Amino acid sequence: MKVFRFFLTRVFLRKPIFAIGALILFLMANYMAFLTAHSVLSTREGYQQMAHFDKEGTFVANLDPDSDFGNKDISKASIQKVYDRLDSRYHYALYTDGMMTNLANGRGVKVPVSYMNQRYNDLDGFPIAQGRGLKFDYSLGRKDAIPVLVGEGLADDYPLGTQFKMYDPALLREVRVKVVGVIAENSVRSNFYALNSKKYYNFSVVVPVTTAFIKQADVSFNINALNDLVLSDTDRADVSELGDYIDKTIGAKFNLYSYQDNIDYYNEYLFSSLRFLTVASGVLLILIVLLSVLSALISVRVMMRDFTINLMVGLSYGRLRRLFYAYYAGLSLIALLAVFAMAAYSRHSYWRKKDAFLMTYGLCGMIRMDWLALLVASLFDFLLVAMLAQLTTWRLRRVPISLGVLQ
Amino acid sequence: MDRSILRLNNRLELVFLYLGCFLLAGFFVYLKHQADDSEVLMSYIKFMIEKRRAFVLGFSAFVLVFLYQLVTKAGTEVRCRVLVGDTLRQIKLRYLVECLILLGISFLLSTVVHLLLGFEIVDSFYVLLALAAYVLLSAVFLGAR
Repeated sequence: MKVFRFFLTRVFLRKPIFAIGALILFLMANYMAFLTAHSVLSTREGYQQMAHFDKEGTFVANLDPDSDFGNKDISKASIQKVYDRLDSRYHYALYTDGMMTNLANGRGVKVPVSYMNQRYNDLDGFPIAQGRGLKFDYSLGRKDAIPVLVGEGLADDYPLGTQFKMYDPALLREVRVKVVGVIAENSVRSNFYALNSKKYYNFSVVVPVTTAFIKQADVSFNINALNDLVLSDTDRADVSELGDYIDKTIGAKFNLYSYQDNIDYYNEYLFSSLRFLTVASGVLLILIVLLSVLSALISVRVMMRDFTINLMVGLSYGRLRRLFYAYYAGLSLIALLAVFAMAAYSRHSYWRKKDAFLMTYGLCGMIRMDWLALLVASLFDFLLVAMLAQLTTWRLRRVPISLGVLQ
Repeated sequence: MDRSILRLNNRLELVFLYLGCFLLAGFFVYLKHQADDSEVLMSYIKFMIEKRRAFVLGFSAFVLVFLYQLVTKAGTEVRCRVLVGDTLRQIKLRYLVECLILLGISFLLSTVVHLLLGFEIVDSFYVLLALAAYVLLSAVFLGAR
């Protein structure tokens, strides 16, 4: 430690420009490696979630981007016709979220309410930490309580078994609900068409949807629920017939994609973008490695005399190598901590902004994916540090001590 | 040129480094052009696009390290020149002028490449200013040893 302190203050930091240069390169390497790994891991997670719908005869609805759906005034009767047809002829999984309600809670967060029907719950229900899953055999009478799930963040205010009143943004009235389960911490859902876009359900309430619920719900809920509708046990002819029926009835064009269609979409857009990102990051990381090596060799050349004098008075090459390892490891640790601070700040900012869909639990709000990406960055650091320490020692070994001292 | 402290290979190295920085700025502009056409790609490389200037400046810091090495190595030569009647002020001035001329040539070359590729050259101006600042800073370190 004493020797390292001596070298740090008298040799490595005597010309701080080299330390600053190396630190900047380490910072960029860590930042790049972290964000690239994060994007890859996030897409992989989304792809795994999408695989829940990997079944023959399963189709996912998606509003056609060219459809001027938003500008139309759709009546309850016409949208109900669509649902009646769905009920009579199709098996459909319904899920929608994004509607907010004012529900008192310790964090003062505006609570999003998510809705899912039984088929969706069977296909891709939320993992439960406490209690049991959703029940769909409830009555919508004013005195009856609707069984709901709450996120981990609401479990303290509304523990399992609690009954409370909540304004339901789909029914547009106050309803009595009962907590029958708590969603597992950091439960996440990815957007079907942007797999790296996430929503976390720590502060959500999940309401079970039944046919009676759909009938009583507001038109906006009915319309939103069509956006990510999943049809199962059907075929392309039937879904295109449904698409035409929806278009005729409410004037909205929906595309209904099979799992294979979505895979084709991913290959064409998502995975090609991901490849582009990894290639661009790879090129920049190679450049960083190259510049780090050149910078390290330059610093050794400029500080040759300092090193060789110490070698002359008894420092071994092995010990010098260890000193280089410690020096570069220290710089990489600073860079890694900076990236950690940046990631933690980003996660914490969602808590400050009370963004319910992005508030996550963990050390500084960091989730498993963040830690894995940090691990990837630290592995890259390890390789870079080893390369720099070995190369600088190799360079010093090539210079006779007598010549180095006289430089 | 005869009295310059820069050798031919130093000049070539500097031109390559300057060009490298400008082309790197061009590379980020290329990324931006690619992402402008695709929302999905933009969601993936947004961090590179938004922080592209910081990245280019980070990479260009290597130029400062290189210039520092040049002026450090030239210490003995500067001392000898001062001994035979040259002045430090004149040496620094010649160094500055030569480095800035090389920088100007590199900038012009990169601008031609950027214009041929249809890239905007706004980002190159940031790089030009940063590199000029590095040259000025390195001149501070130039002295007799």
